[in-house]
Amino acid sequence: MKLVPAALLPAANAAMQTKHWGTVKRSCSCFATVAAAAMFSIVGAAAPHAAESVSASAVDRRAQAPAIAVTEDGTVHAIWFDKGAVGEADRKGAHVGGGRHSHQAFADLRYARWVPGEAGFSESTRINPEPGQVWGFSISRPVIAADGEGRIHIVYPGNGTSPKTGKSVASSFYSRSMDGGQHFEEPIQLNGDSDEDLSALIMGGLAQAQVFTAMAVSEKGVIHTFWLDTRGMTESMRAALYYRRSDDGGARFEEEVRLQENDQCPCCQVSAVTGGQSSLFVSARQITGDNIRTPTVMHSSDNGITFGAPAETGGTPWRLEGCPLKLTAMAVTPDTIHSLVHNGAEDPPGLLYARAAQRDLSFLPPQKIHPEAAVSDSPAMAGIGATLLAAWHAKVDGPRRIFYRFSLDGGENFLPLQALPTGEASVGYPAVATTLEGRFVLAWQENEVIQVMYLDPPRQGVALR
Amino acid sequence: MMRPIAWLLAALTLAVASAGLASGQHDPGILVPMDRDTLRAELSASEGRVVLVNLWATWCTPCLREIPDLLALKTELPASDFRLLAISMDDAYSEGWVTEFKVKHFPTLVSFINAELDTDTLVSVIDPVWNETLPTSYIFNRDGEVVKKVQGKKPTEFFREQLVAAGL
Repeated sequence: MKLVPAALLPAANAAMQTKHWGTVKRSCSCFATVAAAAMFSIVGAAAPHAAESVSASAVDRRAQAPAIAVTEDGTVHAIWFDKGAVGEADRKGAHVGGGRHSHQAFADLRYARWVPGEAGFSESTRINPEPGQVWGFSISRPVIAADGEGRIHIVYPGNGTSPKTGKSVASSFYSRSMDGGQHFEEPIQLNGDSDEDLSALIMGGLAQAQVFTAMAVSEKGVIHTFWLDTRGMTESMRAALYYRRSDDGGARFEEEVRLQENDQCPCCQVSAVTGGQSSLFVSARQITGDNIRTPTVMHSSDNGITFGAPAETGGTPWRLEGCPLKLTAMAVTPDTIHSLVHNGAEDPPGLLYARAAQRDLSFLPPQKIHPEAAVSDSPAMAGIGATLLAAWHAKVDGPRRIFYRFSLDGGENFLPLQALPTGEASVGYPAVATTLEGRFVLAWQENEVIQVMYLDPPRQGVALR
Repeated sequence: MMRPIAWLLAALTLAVASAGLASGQHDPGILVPMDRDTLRAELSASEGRVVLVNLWATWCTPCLREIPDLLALKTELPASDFRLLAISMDDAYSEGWVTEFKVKHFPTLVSFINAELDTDTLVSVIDPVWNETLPTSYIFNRDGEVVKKVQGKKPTEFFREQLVAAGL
C-alpha cells in the first residue's frame, strides 16, 4: 500500500474554512447521494424528503458525541459533550478526581431543546453541577430519553474520586427533568463504589471505571440503565455488565445488579432498547475465546426482572487484543429486534446489520449495510412501526461522511443509501430519535458543532438488495 | 487542520526541535504535534529505512503494554535501518498532560501527538480505511510502502518477523 495521493485525502484545511451551516442549511441533494443511489438496483425508490439542519451547539465550542430524544409535544432535546472553547488547551477540571491519570478527560454535558415552531435550539445549559465533571470521551457517549409523561432522562459518564480509595474513578450518573428540560435535577451516581484500586493495572489509570452507559425508557417511565464495570477486572482486562432500574420515572432506583461477569469488552459502549409493554433488550460485546469481540443481545420479557442468555448477532470472529472502541446499536420494530455493529474482521472493516425475531433472538446471517464503504462505523438506529432508520459514519473514497438507509418492511429490504452533503468537513457520531408523528430526527457532530435535522422516510419504493 | 492553540504549540515545538525533525531524533522529553504534512514529511525522510508507525494513546492499556516491546526493538536494531515512529492519538488539547505521562512511563520514547481535528484525518495519510481501533501499527519497507498493518497488541517476535519480511 502506497501513501494515499493527496488528492484523495480529507482536506482538513478546507473543512475548517467551510462556513458553518449557521442556523439553517439545505441538504440531501448532493452528488454523493445520487452516486450512492446509483450503486443499488432500485425499484421505484423515492429519495427521502429533503430537510434542513440546525446547530444545537455554539460554533466557538468543541462539541462532541451528540444524543437526542423527542418528547410527545415534538420538542427535540439534545445533549453533547462540551470539551471547552475552540483553542482552549487542557480542560481545567483537574480539581475533579483523585489525581492525574491515563484516562483523563474533563468535559461538560450541555443540553438544549428545539421547540416546534422555533427557528432553532435554545441556549444550552450545563447538566453537571461543576465544570469538568464529565468524563468526555466520544466513545462513551451520553444518552437521553423521554417517557410518555414528558419527563426527560439523561445518563452520562462522570469523573470522580472514590470515597474508598481516594483515587480517580469514572462513574455513571443519572439526571432527569420534570419540566420539559428547563431544569435538571442533581445527578445521582448509578453505580456503587468499590475499594478495589486498579490504577496500577492500567499504568496509572483510573482506579475504577463504571461507564460506557446505556439507557432505555418505557412509555410509562420505567428506566433501565446499564454500564460496563471494572469491578473484578484482572490482567485480562474484561469488564462486567451492571444493570439498575427505576419503575417510578427516576425518583428511586433499585439496587444495582451484576448482569454479566467479567467477560465484556471494556471499551465497547452498551446499548439498550425497549419494545412493547415489558420487553427490554441490551446489547454489548462479549469477549469469547482468544479475545474475540462478539456482539450479543440479551432479552428480558418481564421488564428487567430476569434476562435470557446472550445471543450472538453473528459475523466473522474479530480477534483483537486492543481497544475496539465500538459501540453497539439496536432498534425494535413489531416482533423484530435489529442489530447494527462494527466488525473489524470484515474486509473492509464495517457495519453488519442483523435481525431476529424478538421471541427467540435467532439472528439471521448479518449483512453489510454499506458494502461500498472503505470503512463504516458508529451505528445508530431507530424504528417506527415497520419503518427502520439506520445511520452511521463511513468513508467511501474521500472524507468521512454521515450515511443512512431506511427500511419500510422491518429490515427485510433497505432503500438506497443516502449521504449528508457535508463536503470536506470533519463529521461523525450520528444519533437518531423518533417523533410521535412518524418522523425521524438525526444528529451528528460536524467540525465539533452538533447539527440536527429531520428525516422523513419515503412513502413507497423498495430497493433490491 | 490544527486549531490555533495547536498551531502555537506546533510553532513553539518546531522552533525547539526542528533540527531533529524528520530524522526521528527529536527530544523525547517533548511531544511534537503532528499534522498530515508533518506525517508525510517524516515518512518521506525515513525512506531507505524500515519504519514501524505505532498509534497509541494513554487510555489504551494494550498500547501501553506494547510500547516497552517496541522500545526494545528500537534499541536492538540499528537506527540506520529501522525507525520507530510513534504517534499519540490522545487529544492534542491534552498535549501537556500526555507529555507528562509519557516522560514518566516511557522516557526514551520519541513520539508525536496527533494535531488534526480528529484522528482519522491524520491516519488517512497512511490508511484511508483505518477503523480507529488501537493499538494499530503500520510497517513500511525501505521504499516507503506499507507492507503490513497490525491491529491489537502483538509480541516482540511477531514484530521482528514482520520487520525482517519488510526488508530489514
